[in-house]
Amino acid sequence: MEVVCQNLSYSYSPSSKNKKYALSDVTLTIKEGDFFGVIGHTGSGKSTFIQHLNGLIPVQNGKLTVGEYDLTDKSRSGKAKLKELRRKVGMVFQYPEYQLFAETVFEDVAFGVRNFYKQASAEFIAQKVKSAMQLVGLDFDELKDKSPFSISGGQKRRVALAGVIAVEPEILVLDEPCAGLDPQGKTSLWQLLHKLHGTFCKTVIVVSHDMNDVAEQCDKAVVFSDGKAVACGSPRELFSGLEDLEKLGLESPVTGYLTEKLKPSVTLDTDFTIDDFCDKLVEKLKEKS
Amino acid sequence: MQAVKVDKVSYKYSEKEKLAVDGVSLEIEAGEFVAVVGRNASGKSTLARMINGLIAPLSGEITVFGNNTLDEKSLFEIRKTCGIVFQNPDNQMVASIVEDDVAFGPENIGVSREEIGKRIDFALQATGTEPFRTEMASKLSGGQKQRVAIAGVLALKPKILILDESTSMLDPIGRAEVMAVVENLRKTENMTVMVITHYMDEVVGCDKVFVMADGKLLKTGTPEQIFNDKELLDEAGLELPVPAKIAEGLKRRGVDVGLPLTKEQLKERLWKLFAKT
Ligand SMILES: Nc1ncnc2c1ncn2[C@@H]1O[C@H](COP(=O)(O)OP(=O)(O)O)[C@@H](O)[C@H]1O
Ligand SMILES: Nc1ncnc2c1ncn2[C@@H]1O[C@H](COP(=O)(O)OP(=O)(O)O)[C@@H](O)[C@H]1O
Ligand SMILES: [Mg+2]
Ligand SMILES: [Mg+2]
Repeated sequence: MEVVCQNLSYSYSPSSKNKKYALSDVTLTIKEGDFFGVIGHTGSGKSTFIQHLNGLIPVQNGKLTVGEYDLTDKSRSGKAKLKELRRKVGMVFQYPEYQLFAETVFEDVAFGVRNFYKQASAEFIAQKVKSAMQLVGLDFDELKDKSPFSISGGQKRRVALAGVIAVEPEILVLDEPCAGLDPQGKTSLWQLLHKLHGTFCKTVIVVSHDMNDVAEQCDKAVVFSDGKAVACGSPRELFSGLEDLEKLGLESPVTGYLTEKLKPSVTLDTDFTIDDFCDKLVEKLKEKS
Repeated sequence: MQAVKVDKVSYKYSEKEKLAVDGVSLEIEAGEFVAVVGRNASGKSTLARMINGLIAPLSGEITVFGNNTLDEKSLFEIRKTCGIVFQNPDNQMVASIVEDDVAFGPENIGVSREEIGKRIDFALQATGTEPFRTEMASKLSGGQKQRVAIAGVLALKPKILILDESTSMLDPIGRAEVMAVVENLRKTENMTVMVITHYMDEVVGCDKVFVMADGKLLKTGTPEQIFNDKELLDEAGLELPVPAKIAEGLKRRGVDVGLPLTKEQLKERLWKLFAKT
Protein backbone atom coordinates (compact mmCIF):
# COMPACT_ATOMS: atom_id res chain seq x y z
CA MET A 1 0.00 0.00 0.00
CA GLU A 2 1.29 3.39 -0.99
CA VAL A 3 0.60 6.56 1.00
CA VAL A 4 -0.19 9.51 -1.24
CA CYS A 5 -0.81 12.85 0.29
CA GLN A 6 -1.68 15.96 -1.72
CA ASN A 7 -1.91 19.51 -0.37
CA LEU A 8 -2.89 18.23 3.05
CA SER A 9 -3.55 20.98 5.60
CA TYR A 10 -4.85 20.79 9.14
CA SER A 11 -5.67 23.24 11.91
CA TYR A 12 -6.61 22.32 15.49
CA SER A 13 -8.62 25.53 15.69
CA PRO A 14 -10.27 25.74 12.26
CA SER A 15 -12.91 28.27 13.25
CA SER A 16 -10.70 30.70 15.14
CA LYS A 17 -9.94 34.11 13.58
CA ASN A 18 -6.19 33.84 13.36
CA LYS A 19 -6.05 30.12 12.88
CA LYS A 20 -2.72 28.37 12.98
CA TYR A 21 -1.91 25.43 10.76
CA ALA A 22 -0.37 22.33 12.33
CA LEU A 23 -0.01 20.95 8.78
CA SER A 24 0.13 23.14 5.76
CA ASP A 25 0.00 22.08 2.13
CA VAL A 26 1.81 18.78 2.57
CA THR A 27 2.39 16.78 -0.61
CA LEU A 28 4.38 13.57 -0.43
CA THR A 29 4.38 9.87 -1.30
CA ILE A 30 5.53 6.99 0.87
CA LYS A 31 6.12 3.90 -1.25
CA GLU A 32 5.29 0.36 -0.21
CA GLY A 33 8.47 -1.16 1.20
CA ASP A 34 10.00 2.07 2.46
CA PHE A 35 11.63 2.32 5.86
CA PHE A 36 10.61 5.93 6.17
CA GLY A 37 11.70 8.56 8.70
CA VAL A 38 9.63 11.57 9.77
CA ILE A 39 11.81 14.31 11.22
CA GLY A 40 11.51 17.90 12.35
CA HIS A 41 11.81 19.95 15.52
CA THR A 42 9.25 19.76 18.34
CA GLY A 43 5.91 21.19 17.23
CA SER A 44 6.67 20.93 13.50
CA GLY A 45 3.65 18.70 12.81
CA LYS A 46 5.09 15.17 12.82
CA SER A 47 2.51 13.66 15.18
CA THR A 48 -0.34 15.48 13.46
CA PHE A 49 0.82 14.10 10.11
CA ILE A 50 1.11 10.46 11.16
CA GLN A 51 -2.26 10.49 12.92
CA HIS A 52 -3.82 11.25 9.54
CA LEU A 53 -2.54 7.96 8.15
CA ASN A 54 -5.13 5.80 9.90
CA GLY A 55 -7.87 8.37 10.04
CA LEU A 56 -7.38 9.25 13.69
CA ILE A 57 -7.31 12.85 12.58
CA PRO A 58 -9.84 13.40 9.76
CA VAL A 59 -8.72 15.13 6.59
CA GLN A 60 -9.72 18.81 6.69
CA ASN A 61 -8.14 20.01 3.49
CA GLY A 62 -6.40 18.27 0.63
CA LYS A 63 -6.27 14.62 -0.39
CA LEU A 64 -4.95 11.50 1.28
CA THR A 65 -5.06 7.93 0.04
CA VAL A 66 -3.52 4.88 1.67
CA GLY A 67 -3.52 2.02 -0.83
CA GLU A 68 -7.08 1.74 -2.11
CA TYR A 69 -8.49 3.68 0.84
CA ASP A 70 -9.51 7.25 0.22
CA LEU A 71 -9.42 9.07 3.55
CA THR A 72 -11.18 12.05 2.03
CA ASP A 73 -14.27 9.91 1.36
CA LYS A 74 -16.76 10.99 4.02
CA SER A 75 -19.60 8.80 2.67
CA ARG A 76 -21.02 5.91 4.65
CA SER A 77 -19.08 3.31 2.70
CA GLY A 78 -15.92 5.37 3.15
CA LYS A 79 -16.44 5.30 6.91
CA ALA A 80 -17.03 1.55 6.92
CA LYS A 81 -13.71 1.10 5.22
CA LEU A 82 -11.96 3.11 7.90
CA LYS A 83 -12.05 0.19 10.28
CA GLU A 84 -10.44 -2.04 7.67
CA LEU A 85 -7.78 0.60 7.16
CA ARG A 86 -7.07 0.81 10.89
CA ARG A 87 -6.20 -2.86 10.90
CA LYS A 88 -3.79 -2.37 8.02
CA VAL A 89 -2.13 0.72 9.45
CA GLY A 90 -0.80 -0.03 12.93
CA MET A 91 -0.07 2.99 15.10
CA VAL A 92 2.33 2.98 18.06
CA PHE A 93 2.08 6.22 20.03
CA GLN A 94 4.75 7.99 22.05
CA TYR A 95 5.40 6.25 25.37
CA PRO A 96 2.79 3.59 24.48
CA GLU A 97 3.40 1.85 27.80
CA TYR A 98 1.57 4.69 29.57
CA GLN A 99 -1.57 3.38 27.84
CA LEU A 100 -1.42 -0.26 28.93
CA PHE A 101 -4.55 -1.01 30.91
CA ALA A 102 -5.49 -4.70 31.03
CA GLU A 103 -4.98 -7.02 33.97
CA THR A 104 -2.63 -9.35 32.13
CA VAL A 105 -0.09 -9.00 29.37
CA PHE A 106 -2.16 -11.49 27.33
CA GLU A 107 -5.29 -9.34 27.51
CA ASP A 108 -3.39 -6.21 26.58
CA VAL A 109 -1.90 -7.79 23.47
CA ALA A 110 -5.24 -9.45 22.60
CA PHE A 111 -7.23 -6.22 22.74
CA GLY A 112 -6.70 -5.24 19.12
CA VAL A 113 -7.27 -8.76 17.82
CA ARG A 114 -10.60 -9.00 19.64
CA ASN A 115 -11.56 -5.60 18.35
CA PHE A 116 -10.82 -6.33 14.69
CA TYR A 117 -11.97 -9.98 14.57
CA LYS A 118 -15.28 -9.89 16.41
CA GLN A 119 -16.16 -13.55 15.84
CA ALA A 120 -12.68 -14.94 16.46
CA SER A 121 -12.26 -18.19 18.39
CA ALA A 122 -10.20 -18.35 21.55
CA GLU A 123 -7.58 -20.43 19.72
CA PHE A 124 -7.32 -17.90 16.92
CA ILE A 125 -6.76 -15.09 19.41
CA ALA A 126 -4.25 -17.05 21.47
CA GLN A 127 -2.31 -17.93 18.35
CA LYS A 128 -2.15 -14.28 17.20
CA VAL A 129 -1.08 -13.10 20.65
CA LYS A 130 1.56 -15.78 20.92
CA SER A 131 3.13 -15.10 17.57
CA ALA A 132 3.10 -11.32 18.13
CA MET A 133 4.83 -11.74 21.48
CA GLN A 134 7.39 -14.03 19.93
CA LEU A 135 8.07 -11.55 17.13
CA VAL A 136 8.84 -8.74 19.56
CA GLY A 137 10.99 -11.02 21.69
CA LEU A 138 8.73 -11.59 24.70
CA ASP A 139 8.47 -15.00 26.34
CA PHE A 140 4.78 -15.96 26.00
CA ASP A 141 4.60 -18.56 28.78
CA GLU A 142 6.57 -16.50 31.24
CA LEU A 143 4.74 -13.23 30.73
CA LYS A 144 1.20 -13.90 29.53
CA ASP A 145 -0.40 -13.98 32.98
CA LYS A 146 1.66 -11.21 34.53
CA SER A 147 0.30 -7.75 35.14
CA PRO A 148 1.70 -5.33 32.56
CA PHE A 149 2.53 -3.03 35.47
CA SER A 150 4.87 -5.52 37.10
CA ILE A 151 7.28 -5.83 34.17
CA SER A 152 10.19 -3.58 33.18
CA GLY A 153 9.88 -0.43 31.06
CA GLY A 154 11.53 -1.97 28.01
CA GLN A 155 9.24 -5.00 28.21
CA LYS A 156 6.17 -2.79 28.59
CA ARG A 157 7.03 -1.01 25.38
CA ARG A 158 7.31 -4.38 23.63
CA VAL A 159 3.92 -5.42 25.00
CA ALA A 160 2.40 -2.26 23.52
CA LEU A 161 4.11 -2.97 20.21
CA ALA A 162 2.95 -6.61 20.23
CA GLY A 163 -0.65 -5.42 20.67
CA VAL A 164 -0.34 -3.36 17.49
CA ILE A 165 1.37 -5.97 15.32
CA ALA A 166 -0.88 -8.82 16.48
CA VAL A 167 -3.37 -7.87 13.75
CA GLU A 168 -0.56 -7.95 11.17
CA PRO A 169 -0.67 -4.41 9.82
CA GLU A 170 0.90 -3.77 6.42
CA ILE A 171 2.08 -0.35 7.47
CA LEU A 172 3.55 0.20 10.92
CA VAL A 173 3.74 3.78 12.16
CA LEU A 174 5.70 4.64 15.32
CA ASP A 175 5.93 8.00 17.09
CA GLU A 176 9.39 8.38 18.66
CA PRO A 177 9.65 4.73 19.63
CA CYS A 178 13.12 5.07 21.15
CA ALA A 179 12.38 7.88 23.61
CA GLY A 180 13.35 6.87 27.13
CA LEU A 181 14.95 3.55 26.21
CA ASP A 182 18.47 2.72 27.40
CA PRO A 183 21.17 2.34 24.70
CA GLN A 184 20.80 -1.44 24.43
CA GLY A 185 17.02 -1.18 24.41
CA LYS A 186 17.30 1.31 21.56
CA THR A 187 19.64 -0.85 19.51
CA SER A 188 17.45 -3.90 19.89
CA LEU A 189 14.31 -1.93 19.03
CA TRP A 190 15.85 -0.81 15.73
CA GLN A 191 16.82 -4.41 15.01
CA LEU A 192 13.28 -5.49 15.77
CA LEU A 193 11.81 -2.88 13.43
CA HIS A 194 14.06 -4.06 10.60
CA LYS A 195 13.04 -7.65 11.30
CA LEU A 196 9.34 -6.71 11.17
CA HIS A 197 9.97 -4.79 7.96
CA GLY A 198 10.68 -8.11 6.26
CA THR A 199 7.36 -9.69 7.28
CA PHE A 200 3.66 -8.82 6.78
CA CYS A 201 4.66 -5.34 7.72
CA LYS A 202 5.84 -3.97 4.41
CA THR A 203 6.27 -0.32 5.23
CA VAL A 204 7.67 1.19 8.43
CA ILE A 205 7.14 4.88 9.15
CA VAL A 206 9.00 6.18 12.16
CA VAL A 207 9.15 9.60 13.80
CA SER A 208 12.61 10.29 15.18
CA HIS A 209 14.54 13.19 16.67
CA ASP A 210 17.90 11.67 16.22
CA MET A 211 19.53 12.38 12.87
CA ASN A 212 22.24 9.82 13.62
CA ASP A 213 19.53 7.17 13.83
CA VAL A 214 17.82 8.41 10.67
CA ALA A 215 21.12 8.29 8.74
CA GLU A 216 21.81 4.82 10.03
CA GLN A 217 18.35 3.23 9.82
CA CYS A 218 16.07 4.87 7.24
CA ASP A 219 15.94 4.59 3.42
CA LYS A 220 14.12 7.86 3.11
CA ALA A 221 12.78 10.64 5.28
CA VAL A 222 10.63 13.74 5.18
CA VAL A 223 11.55 16.89 7.08
CA PHE A 224 8.77 18.93 8.64
CA SER A 225 9.09 22.56 9.62
CA ASP A 226 6.17 24.69 10.77
CA GLY A 227 3.71 22.18 9.40
CA LYS A 228 5.28 22.09 5.95
CA ALA A 229 7.10 19.16 4.37
CA VAL A 230 10.21 21.10 3.40
CA ALA A 231 12.42 18.26 2.16
CA CYS A 232 12.06 14.61 1.33
CA GLY A 233 14.63 12.09 0.15
CA SER A 234 17.27 9.56 1.08
CA PRO A 235 19.69 10.37 3.93
CA ARG A 236 22.30 10.89 1.22
CA GLU A 237 20.17 13.61 -0.36
CA LEU A 238 18.93 15.18 2.87
CA PHE A 239 22.22 15.41 4.70
CA SER A 240 24.14 16.75 1.72
CA GLY A 241 22.30 20.04 2.12
CA LEU A 242 23.18 20.44 5.76
CA GLU A 243 23.03 24.21 6.02
CA ASP A 244 19.38 24.07 5.02
CA LEU A 245 18.67 21.49 7.70
CA GLU A 246 20.40 23.50 10.39
CA LYS A 247 18.40 26.56 9.45
CA LEU A 248 15.32 24.48 10.25
CA GLY A 249 16.57 23.90 13.78
CA LEU A 250 17.75 20.35 13.18
CA GLU A 251 21.05 18.92 14.27
CA SER A 252 23.00 17.10 11.59
CA PRO A 253 24.26 13.54 12.04
CA VAL A 254 27.88 13.46 13.20
CA THR A 255 28.94 11.92 9.88
CA GLY A 256 27.28 14.85 8.08
CA TYR A 257 28.99 17.39 10.33
CA LEU A 258 32.40 15.83 9.66
CA THR A 259 31.82 15.55 5.91
CA GLU A 260 30.99 19.26 5.87
CA LYS A 261 34.02 20.22 7.97
CA LEU A 262 36.44 18.27 5.79
CA LYS A 263 35.45 20.28 2.72
CA PRO A 264 36.83 21.64 0.47
CA SER A 265 40.14 19.78 0.72
CA VAL A 266 38.42 16.42 1.19
CA THR A 267 35.07 15.61 -0.40
CA LEU A 268 33.36 12.40 0.65
CA ASP A 269 30.55 10.85 -1.35
CA THR A 270 28.85 9.00 1.49
CA ASP A 271 25.36 7.83 2.47
CA PHE A 272 26.17 9.08 6.01
CA THR A 273 26.02 5.71 7.76
CA ILE A 274 29.02 5.24 10.06
CA ASP A 275 30.29 2.25 8.08
CA ASP A 276 30.12 3.94 4.72
CA PHE A 277 31.60 7.16 6.11
CA CYS A 278 34.59 5.23 7.51
CA ASP A 279 35.06 3.33 4.23
CA LYS A 280 35.07 6.52 2.17
CA LEU A 281 37.36 8.33 4.58
CA VAL A 282 39.92 5.55 4.58
CA GLU A 283 39.78 5.46 0.76
CA LYS A 284 40.60 9.18 0.62
CA LEU A 285 43.47 8.73 3.04
CA LYS A 286 44.95 6.00 0.84
CA GLU A 287 44.55 8.15 -2.27
CA LYS A 288 46.42 10.99 -0.58
CA SER A 289 49.39 9.00 0.65
CA MET B 1 32.18 21.92 50.22
CA GLN B 2 30.45 18.58 50.08
CA ALA B 3 26.96 18.70 48.61
CA VAL B 4 25.92 15.05 48.86
CA LYS B 5 27.35 12.08 50.67
CA VAL B 6 25.80 8.66 50.17
CA ASP B 7 27.19 6.13 52.61
CA LYS B 8 26.64 2.36 52.08
CA VAL B 9 23.01 2.87 51.17
CA SER B 10 20.56 0.09 50.26
CA TYR B 11 16.85 0.12 49.50
CA LYS B 12 14.07 -2.25 48.52
CA TYR B 13 10.49 -1.48 47.66
CA SER B 14 8.99 -4.51 49.36
CA GLU B 15 10.03 -7.42 51.52
CA LYS B 16 10.05 -10.07 48.80
CA GLU B 17 11.75 -8.00 46.10
CA LYS B 18 15.47 -7.76 45.55
CA LEU B 19 17.41 -4.65 46.49
CA ALA B 20 16.66 -1.74 44.12
CA VAL B 21 19.79 0.02 45.42
CA ASP B 22 22.50 -2.17 46.84
CA GLY B 23 25.32 -0.84 49.02
CA VAL B 24 25.98 2.40 47.15
CA SER B 25 28.53 4.95 48.43
CA LEU B 26 29.36 8.16 46.59
CA GLU B 27 30.20 11.81 47.12
CA ILE B 28 29.35 14.93 45.14
CA GLU B 29 31.08 18.27 45.70
CA ALA B 30 29.18 21.55 45.57
CA GLY B 31 29.19 22.96 42.03
CA GLU B 32 30.00 19.62 40.45
CA PHE B 33 28.19 18.35 37.36
CA VAL B 34 27.70 14.59 37.63
CA ALA B 35 25.91 12.02 35.49
CA VAL B 36 24.29 8.76 36.54
CA VAL B 37 23.99 6.12 33.82
CA GLY B 38 22.91 2.50 33.53
CA ARG B 39 20.15 0.27 32.14
CA ASN B 40 16.49 0.80 32.85
CA ALA B 41 15.73 -0.56 36.36
CA SER B 42 19.35 -0.33 37.54
CA GLY B 43 18.34 1.84 40.51
CA LYS B 44 19.10 5.37 39.27
CA SER B 45 15.72 6.91 40.13
CA THR B 46 15.55 5.15 43.47
CA LEU B 47 18.93 6.66 44.38
CA ALA B 48 17.73 10.12 43.31
CA ARG B 49 14.54 9.83 45.38
CA MET B 50 16.62 8.93 48.42
CA ILE B 51 18.96 11.90 47.98
CA ASN B 52 15.93 14.17 47.84
CA GLY B 53 14.50 12.55 50.99
CA LEU B 54 11.37 11.24 49.27
CA ILE B 55 12.20 7.74 50.48
CA ALA B 56 14.48 6.73 53.34
CA PRO B 57 17.36 4.27 52.99
CA LEU B 58 16.79 0.79 54.38
CA SER B 59 20.37 0.83 55.60
CA GLY B 60 23.21 3.32 55.40
CA GLU B 61 22.69 7.09 55.35
CA ILE B 62 22.68 10.14 53.14
CA THR B 63 23.62 13.70 53.98
CA VAL B 64 22.76 16.72 51.86
CA PHE B 65 24.88 19.74 52.77
CA GLY B 66 25.38 18.10 56.15
CA ASN B 67 21.69 17.37 56.77
CA ASN B 68 20.83 13.70 57.26
CA THR B 69 17.79 12.56 55.26
CA LEU B 70 16.84 10.23 58.13
CA ASP B 71 16.37 13.25 60.37
CA GLU B 72 12.70 14.24 60.05
CA LYS B 73 13.45 17.80 61.11
CA SER B 74 15.88 18.31 58.20
CA LEU B 75 13.55 17.03 55.51
CA PHE B 76 11.96 20.39 54.69
CA GLU B 77 15.40 21.97 54.38
CA ILE B 78 16.63 19.10 52.18
CA ARG B 79 13.70 19.33 49.78
CA LYS B 80 14.23 23.08 49.54
CA THR B 81 17.90 22.54 48.78
CA CYS B 82 17.50 19.69 46.34
CA GLY B 83 15.07 19.89 43.42
CA ILE B 84 14.16 16.87 41.30
CA VAL B 85 12.60 16.86 37.83
CA PHE B 86 11.11 13.49 36.94
CA GLN B 87 10.86 11.73 33.60
CA ASN B 88 7.12 11.84 33.17
CA PRO B 89 6.02 15.49 33.47
CA ASP B 90 2.42 14.40 34.11
CA ASN B 91 3.58 13.16 37.51
CA GLN B 92 4.98 16.58 38.31
CA MET B 93 2.30 19.01 37.21
CA VAL B 94 0.04 20.24 40.00
CA ALA B 95 -1.80 23.27 38.62
CA SER B 96 -3.74 23.51 35.37
CA ILE B 97 -2.27 26.83 34.17
CA VAL B 98 1.43 26.91 33.34
CA GLU B 99 2.43 29.92 35.46
CA ASP B 100 0.49 28.63 38.48
CA ASP B 101 2.27 25.36 38.16
CA VAL B 102 5.64 27.08 38.21
CA ALA B 103 4.57 29.22 41.20
CA PHE B 104 3.48 26.23 43.25
CA GLY B 105 6.95 25.20 44.46
CA PRO B 106 8.16 28.62 45.65
CA GLU B 107 4.77 29.33 47.29
CA ASN B 108 5.11 26.10 49.19
CA ILE B 109 8.51 26.92 50.63
CA GLY B 110 7.36 30.37 51.74
CA VAL B 111 9.00 32.63 49.17
CA SER B 112 7.65 36.23 49.25
CA ARG B 113 5.09 37.19 46.66
CA GLU B 114 7.31 39.75 44.98
CA GLU B 115 10.21 37.31 44.75
CA ILE B 116 7.90 34.59 43.35
CA GLY B 117 6.97 36.88 40.45
CA LYS B 118 10.64 37.35 39.61
CA ARG B 119 11.36 33.67 39.83
CA ILE B 120 8.49 32.75 37.54
CA ASP B 121 9.70 35.26 34.95
CA PHE B 122 13.20 33.86 35.19
CA ALA B 123 12.19 30.18 35.05
CA LEU B 124 9.82 30.65 32.11
CA GLN B 125 12.45 32.62 30.20
CA ALA B 126 15.18 30.12 30.94
CA THR B 127 13.18 27.15 29.72
CA GLY B 128 11.60 28.87 26.72
CA THR B 129 8.07 28.42 28.09
CA GLU B 130 7.17 32.13 28.32
CA PRO B 131 4.82 31.85 25.28
CA PHE B 132 2.67 29.26 27.11
CA ARG B 133 2.56 31.21 30.37
CA THR B 134 -1.22 31.44 30.62
CA GLU B 135 -2.08 28.26 28.74
CA MET B 136 -3.47 25.00 30.07
CA ALA B 137 -0.58 22.68 30.84
CA SER B 138 -2.63 19.69 29.67
CA LYS B 139 -2.75 21.05 26.11
CA LEU B 140 1.01 21.19 25.70
CA SER B 141 3.10 18.58 23.91
CA GLY B 142 5.22 16.14 25.91
CA GLY B 143 8.38 18.15 25.28
CA GLN B 144 6.72 21.41 26.24
CA LYS B 145 5.43 19.86 29.47
CA GLN B 146 8.93 18.70 30.29
CA ARG B 147 10.17 22.27 29.91
CA VAL B 148 7.44 23.49 32.27
CA ALA B 149 8.37 20.80 34.80
CA ILE B 150 11.98 21.99 34.68
CA ALA B 151 10.82 25.61 35.08
CA GLY B 152 8.88 24.60 38.20
CA VAL B 153 12.01 23.23 39.84
CA LEU B 154 14.28 26.09 38.68
CA ALA B 155 11.85 28.50 40.38
CA LEU B 156 12.79 26.85 43.68
CA LYS B 157 16.38 28.01 43.09
CA PRO B 158 17.68 24.70 44.39
CA LYS B 159 21.33 24.38 45.39
CA ILE B 160 21.21 20.88 43.93
CA LEU B 161 19.32 20.10 40.74
CA ILE B 162 18.54 16.50 39.80
CA LEU B 163 17.27 15.88 36.26
CA ASP B 164 15.92 12.33 36.11
CA GLU B 165 15.59 11.64 32.36
CA SER B 166 13.73 14.91 32.26
CA THR B 167 14.60 15.90 28.70
CA SER B 168 13.64 12.59 27.08
CA MET B 169 10.85 14.12 24.99
CA LEU B 170 12.86 17.08 23.69
CA ASP B 171 14.64 17.14 20.36
CA PRO B 172 18.47 17.38 20.40
CA ILE B 173 18.49 21.15 20.02
CA GLY B 174 15.87 21.53 22.74
CA ARG B 175 17.96 19.32 25.01
CA ALA B 176 21.04 21.39 24.30
CA GLU B 177 19.15 24.59 25.13
CA VAL B 178 18.00 23.26 28.48
CA MET B 179 21.46 21.94 29.30
CA ALA B 180 22.98 25.34 28.44
CA VAL B 181 20.66 27.03 30.96
CA VAL B 182 21.60 24.48 33.58
CA GLU B 183 25.31 24.90 32.85
CA ASN B 184 24.94 28.66 33.18
CA LEU B 185 23.26 28.33 36.60
CA ARG B 186 26.01 26.02 37.69
CA LYS B 187 28.61 28.65 36.82
CA THR B 188 26.79 31.71 38.17
CA GLU B 189 25.07 30.19 41.22
CA ASN B 190 27.46 27.33 41.89
CA MET B 191 24.48 24.98 41.54
CA THR B 192 25.29 21.29 41.87
CA VAL B 193 23.83 19.25 39.00
CA MET B 194 23.07 15.56 38.71
CA VAL B 195 21.71 14.28 35.40
CA ILE B 196 20.31 10.80 35.02
CA THR B 197 20.37 10.07 31.31
CA HIS B 198 20.52 7.57 28.46
CA TYR B 199 22.04 10.14 26.11
CA MET B 200 25.75 9.51 26.02
CA ASP B 201 26.40 12.96 24.51
CA GLU B 202 25.05 14.50 27.75
CA VAL B 203 27.54 12.48 29.78
CA VAL B 204 30.57 13.64 27.84
CA GLY B 205 30.80 17.14 29.31
CA CYS B 206 30.40 16.29 32.99
CA ASP B 207 32.97 16.13 35.81
CA LYS B 208 32.13 12.70 37.13
CA VAL B 209 30.09 9.71 35.97
CA PHE B 210 28.45 7.14 38.23
CA VAL B 211 27.73 3.85 36.47
CA MET B 212 24.97 1.72 37.98
CA ALA B 213 24.01 -1.91 37.26
CA ASP B 214 21.57 -4.07 39.22
CA GLY B 215 21.35 -1.56 42.04
CA LYS B 216 25.11 -1.42 42.53
CA LEU B 217 27.54 1.36 41.76
CA LEU B 218 29.89 -0.34 39.28
CA LYS B 219 32.31 2.51 38.76
CA THR B 220 32.92 6.20 39.33
CA GLY B 221 35.13 8.00 36.83
CA THR B 222 35.62 10.79 34.33
CA PRO B 223 33.85 10.38 30.97
CA GLU B 224 37.22 9.42 29.43
CA GLN B 225 37.75 6.70 32.03
CA ILE B 226 34.25 5.34 31.58
CA PHE B 227 34.21 5.27 27.77
CA ASN B 228 37.64 3.69 27.57
CA ASP B 229 36.51 0.75 29.69
CA LYS B 230 34.97 -1.71 27.19
CA GLU B 231 34.08 -4.35 29.75
CA LEU B 232 32.29 -1.81 31.90
CA LEU B 233 30.28 -0.49 28.94
CA ASP B 234 29.11 -4.02 28.14
CA GLU B 235 28.33 -4.87 31.72
CA ALA B 236 26.27 -1.72 32.23
CA GLY B 237 24.61 -1.78 28.78
CA LEU B 238 26.13 1.54 27.72
CA GLU B 239 27.29 2.58 24.30
CA LEU B 240 29.90 4.99 23.00
CA PRO B 241 28.93 8.50 21.94
CA VAL B 242 28.61 8.68 18.13
CA PRO B 243 32.01 10.38 17.51
CA ALA B 244 33.72 7.60 19.45
CA LYS B 245 31.77 4.99 17.46
CA ILE B 246 33.11 6.53 14.25
CA ALA B 247 36.64 6.50 15.68
CA GLU B 248 36.18 2.81 16.47
CA GLY B 249 35.08 2.17 12.89
CA LEU B 250 38.20 3.91 11.63
CA LYS B 251 40.38 1.91 13.99
CA ARG B 252 38.97 -1.34 12.62
CA ARG B 253 40.09 -0.10 9.22
CA GLY B 254 43.60 0.56 10.46
CA VAL B 255 43.30 4.30 11.15
CA ASP B 256 43.92 5.25 14.77
CA VAL B 257 42.52 8.59 15.95
CA GLY B 258 42.21 7.61 19.61
CA LEU B 259 38.80 7.86 21.26
CA PRO B 260 37.43 11.39 20.78
CA LEU B 261 34.17 11.89 22.68
CA THR B 262 32.91 15.01 20.89
CA LYS B 263 32.47 15.75 17.22
CA GLU B 264 34.73 18.80 17.52
CA GLN B 265 37.57 16.65 18.88
CA LEU B 266 37.10 14.10 16.12
CA LYS B 267 37.06 16.86 13.48
CA GLU B 268 40.41 18.22 14.77
CA ARG B 269 41.95 14.79 14.59
CA LEU B 270 40.71 14.14 11.08
CA TRP B 271 42.08 17.51 9.96
CA LYS B 272 45.49 16.58 11.37
CA LEU B 273 45.36 13.23 9.63
CA PHE B 274 44.80 14.81 6.24
CA ALA B 275 47.33 17.56 6.87
CA LYS B 276 50.01 14.95 7.54
CA THR B 277 49.54 12.94 4.36
N1 LIG C 1 -4.35 18.48 20.60
C1 LIG C 1 -3.87 19.66 20.16
N2 LIG C 1 -4.57 20.81 20.33
C2 LIG C 1 -4.10 21.98 19.88
N3 LIG C 1 -2.93 22.16 19.25
C3 LIG C 1 -2.18 21.06 19.05
C4 LIG C 1 -2.60 19.76 19.49
N4 LIG C 1 -1.63 18.85 19.18
C5 LIG C 1 -0.68 19.57 18.55
N5 LIG C 1 -0.98 20.87 18.48
C6 LIG C 1 -0.16 21.95 17.86
O1 LIG C 1 0.06 21.61 16.50
C7 LIG C 1 1.40 21.85 16.11
C8 LIG C 1 2.07 20.56 15.63
O2 LIG C 1 2.15 19.66 16.72
P1 LIG C 1 2.63 18.15 16.60
O3 LIG C 1 2.01 17.56 15.40
O4 LIG C 1 2.36 17.52 17.91
O5 LIG C 1 4.20 18.34 16.37
P2 LIG C 1 5.42 17.34 16.61
O6 LIG C 1 4.88 15.96 16.71
O7 LIG C 1 6.30 17.57 15.42
O8 LIG C 1 6.10 17.79 17.87
C9 LIG C 1 2.08 22.46 17.33
O9 LIG C 1 2.07 23.86 17.19
C10 LIG C 1 1.22 22.01 18.48
O10 LIG C 1 1.27 22.94 19.56
N1 LIG D 1 7.55 2.48 42.87
C1 LIG D 1 8.13 1.27 42.78
N2 LIG D 1 7.56 0.18 43.35
C2 LIG D 1 8.13 -1.04 43.28
N3 LIG D 1 9.31 -1.28 42.65
C3 LIG D 1 9.92 -0.24 42.07
C4 LIG D 1 9.36 1.09 42.10
N4 LIG D 1 10.21 1.92 41.44
C5 LIG D 1 11.23 1.15 41.01
N5 LIG D 1 11.07 -0.14 41.39
C6 LIG D 1 12.01 -1.24 41.11
O1 LIG D 1 13.27 -0.89 41.64
C7 LIG D 1 14.31 -1.23 40.74
C8 LIG D 1 15.12 0.01 40.38
O2 LIG D 1 14.27 0.89 39.67
P1 LIG D 1 14.61 2.40 39.34
O3 LIG D 1 15.28 3.02 40.49
O4 LIG D 1 13.38 3.03 38.84
O5 LIG D 1 15.66 2.21 38.14
P2 LIG D 1 16.11 3.20 36.96
O6 LIG D 1 15.75 4.59 37.37
O7 LIG D 1 17.57 2.96 36.84
O8 LIG D 1 15.38 2.77 35.73
C9 LIG D 1 13.65 -1.90 39.56
O9 LIG D 1 13.74 -3.30 39.72
C10 LIG D 1 12.22 -1.41 39.63
O10 LIG D 1 11.34 -2.35 39.07
MG1 LIG E 1 5.11 14.59 18.28
MG1 LIG F 1 14.47 5.96 36.31
